[in-house]
Amino acid sequence: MIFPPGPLDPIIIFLATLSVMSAIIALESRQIVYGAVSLIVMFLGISAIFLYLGGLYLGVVQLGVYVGAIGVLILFAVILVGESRTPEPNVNRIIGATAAMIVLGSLLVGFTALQMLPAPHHVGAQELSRIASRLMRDYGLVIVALGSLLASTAFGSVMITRR
Amino acid sequence: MMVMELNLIMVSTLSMILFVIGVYGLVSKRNLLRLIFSIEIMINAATLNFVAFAAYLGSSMSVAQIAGVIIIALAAAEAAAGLSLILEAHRLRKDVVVDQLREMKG
Amino acid sequence: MDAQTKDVRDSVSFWLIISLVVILIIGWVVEGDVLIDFLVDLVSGPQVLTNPLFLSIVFPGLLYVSIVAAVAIYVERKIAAKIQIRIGPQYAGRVEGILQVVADGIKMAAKEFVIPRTVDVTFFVAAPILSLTVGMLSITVVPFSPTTVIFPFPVNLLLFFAIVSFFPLTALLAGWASNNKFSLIGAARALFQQASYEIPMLISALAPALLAGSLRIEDIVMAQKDMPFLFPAILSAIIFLAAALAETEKHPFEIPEADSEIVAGWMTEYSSMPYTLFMLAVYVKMISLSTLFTDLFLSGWLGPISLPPEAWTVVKSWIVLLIFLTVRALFPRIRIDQMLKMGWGSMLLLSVAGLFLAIALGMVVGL
Repeated sequence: MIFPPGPLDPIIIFLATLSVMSAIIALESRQIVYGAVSLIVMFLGISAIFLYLGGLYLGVVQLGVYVGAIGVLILFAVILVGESRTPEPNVNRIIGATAAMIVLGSLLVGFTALQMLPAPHHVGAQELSRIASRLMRDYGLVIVALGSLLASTAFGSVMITRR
Repeated sequence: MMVMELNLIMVSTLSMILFVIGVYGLVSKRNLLRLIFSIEIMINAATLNFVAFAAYLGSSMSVAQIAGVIIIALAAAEAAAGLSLILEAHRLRKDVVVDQLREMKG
Repeated sequence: MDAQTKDVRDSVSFWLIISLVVILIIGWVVEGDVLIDFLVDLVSGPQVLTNPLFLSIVFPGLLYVSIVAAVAIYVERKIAAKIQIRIGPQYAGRVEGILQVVADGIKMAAKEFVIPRTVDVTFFVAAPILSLTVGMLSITVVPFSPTTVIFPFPVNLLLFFAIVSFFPLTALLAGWASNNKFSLIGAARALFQQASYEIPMLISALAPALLAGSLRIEDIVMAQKDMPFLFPAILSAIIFLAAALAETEKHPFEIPEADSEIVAGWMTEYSSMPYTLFMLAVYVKMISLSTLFTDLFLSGWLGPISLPPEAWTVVKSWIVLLIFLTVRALFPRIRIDQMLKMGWGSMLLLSVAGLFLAIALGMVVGL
């Protein structure tokens, strides 16, 4: 989808609200399992935004990898580890909020650069085969590096957690 | 700014807010699992920007999706390594608080 | 018995009506007046077969799936009984116990939904609903014919596997929410099993995708005009069947709910309708996997004689389903460590080998 000119899209507003709310709940929920499930809801919301904006392939990969693999892995680790016995000190919240505000300010400065965006030039729908050929032609080395990284990570995680 | 970009502004604002939430969590939390949550939120925010601007510009969606897939693969590796380290820390310390892991302090 | 109880019987029909109304409102917002369109199509004849409401509620949606699941449960029990030299269901419905499933359903619906005090109520109630939702989502992306697909999507093969990967999530939630050792062990087993067998299944499903050069199931079926991909991709097909059996937690791989070891696995604390929802979700998953197998390897809706395309898909998928149900009675259960060793060892290697074999044989026969 190309962004339609005109007023705000209610679907985007809904998905954005859902993502932000569930991200906040993920960090601030009292029980950490609820936080993990809320994080998975956020992944779902983000993937819905991808699908809605036309990134079909990326949306599906987000669904399969983030929700199906990373989300399940995080939920399983959370269930295994359980609740932390030490409570979070309240002072940290204030420090965290301050840091967040500083980052927000610096991001807002970058936001003004939106005015310098080039005008959109529309082309036709993206084919999956085009992504595949670009992935193999231009990013072949990246794919190989990613593959070896993933393999070594899997091997390393197994070695770490093995008794 | 023009009315035409309102939806783009909406999505990139969402990305910014998610990133800031991630920063907040990363600074304020001491539970290792919550730190992983924050990092995942920040990674998602970054990916969102690629897709939002590609959808606005209308031409580079395939590049944006490739970037997103690479980011997601990296995030998967990060989650696997991080979670296995957390499980190991839990086995050693019976808790998953960052402050307790300070054997390496000089 | 000291338990907090809730009577669901009165509220089942209430929630059904509520959810139907919500679906209609969403449909009205997104697609215009769904109900009026459906009624107009209904009086106009065969056009109704491609109406979205008809697709999602009658065929291949809710009604078809529920009926096939009910028949599959009966057939499964009868086949298992005959193989093990028993009689099987006998009384309900006079003839060979043909109404046994209906009797079981009524019994299940009449029972009380017990919510123990120590469970986490939110996820305890949400898990069965989520499970059935994911099951129904998995049937929405599988095409029965070029027009008979509830949710047309350009990369629906990937989307199907993304949806199938949600199942361990619901099992894990149910197991954790039950606050019970057996449930948690069963949930962990379900997670290990489904997560490790999804990879061979995905790799062996890539063989037909490679032969057809597309990740769209409709294109894969159309590429099988000359020859079903079962012949070039025979090894992949076998691996896919075995992995699908493991995914549906059926008998040789029935480890997560091994009733002689861990009561009923992650469904231990469940009773009444929520338990039925879990069972229905498993059967829906089985139906959608067998339909996907039909589309990928058995040339889907294409057939030698001209029948309605949906009829071919349905008949072939029933045959695949029958294989699933028969295997159940033939093999003993294996242990979880044997299972995982097989999944990450021979299954993974064989699925990659099947991929290369399919490419080589496809070159030989000139696909």
